[in-house]
Amino acid sequence: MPNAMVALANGTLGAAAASVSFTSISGAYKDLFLVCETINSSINATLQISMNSNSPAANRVIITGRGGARTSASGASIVVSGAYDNTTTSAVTCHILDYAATDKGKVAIIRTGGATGSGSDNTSLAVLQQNTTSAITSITISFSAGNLNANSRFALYGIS
Amino acid sequence: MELIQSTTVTGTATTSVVFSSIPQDGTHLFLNISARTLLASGGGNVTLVPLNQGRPNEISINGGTASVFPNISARGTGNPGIWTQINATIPNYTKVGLKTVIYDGGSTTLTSGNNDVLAYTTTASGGTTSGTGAITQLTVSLVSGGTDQVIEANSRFSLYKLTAGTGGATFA
Repeated sequence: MPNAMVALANGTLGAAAASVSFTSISGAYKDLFLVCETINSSINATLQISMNSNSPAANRVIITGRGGARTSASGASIVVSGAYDNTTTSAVTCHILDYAATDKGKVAIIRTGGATGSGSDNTSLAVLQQNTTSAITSITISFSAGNLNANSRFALYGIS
Repeated sequence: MELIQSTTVTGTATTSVVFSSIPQDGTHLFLNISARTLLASGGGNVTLVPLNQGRPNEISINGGTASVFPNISARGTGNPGIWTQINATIPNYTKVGLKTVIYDGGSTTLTSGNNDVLAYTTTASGGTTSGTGAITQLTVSLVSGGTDQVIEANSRFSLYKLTAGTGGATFA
């Protein structure tokens, strides 16, 4: 992908927020690539990523683990990680393929992880699928409980 | 995305690859690795050691017994001699604060029980300058049994940087 990624928008939270969003996303690229560092305020909260306000509702498959213990889950949800403690800075990448297409559903491949050794952090791999032919024009990031803390960072790229 | 440096191992005595003086004008780092070691037989847990000391988490297929390691190491393959592909992402590498790295990778021969697919996370440990300062150097080793292994010729390590910017979406 050298020289094929275009920075679209980025931001760092100056104060805690329930969610952040990228909106008015240009449809000029083939894929979207999201890079985040998220810090949550609530222990055991799970990361959530929604596209187009989760309309229609997305399905997801996720595997998550910590060392030798692994779990998997599936179902209608926008949860894309296992639980985190409230001190872990988790790294997140999200690759949304063919996001502007109007003739197919949308699929996002998401990697998250944090590892401060506190006992409730983990590594997760998720696939989020949204059965819509609408172009993805917005992405929202939040936690299942609590806030995104200050200094959480977000950057969105278009891949051409 | 801009290539910072690509290194291809040519000798037979290399046990680590160092990226030094990493430019600080980027936002995220991406490290792509295609490598194998000269270990003669299978069973070793070849690992990647790229960052400051920290605590890793792992999920893997056929990786099996890994627990939370006391030091930073990411399993690339359980079958030395087989080419392993690993991608590592280091977001916001110039910030002051703990850095979290995520890895994806694996290898397979389709016939051995030591193949592996992995997703891996490491957060640098706190309380040290090296854990919270900007990343200026990365050292990559392939480790088995606690020992750096000789990296085979034609193994390649490429480091890229990605900058943040605006234009094409709105953040709020």
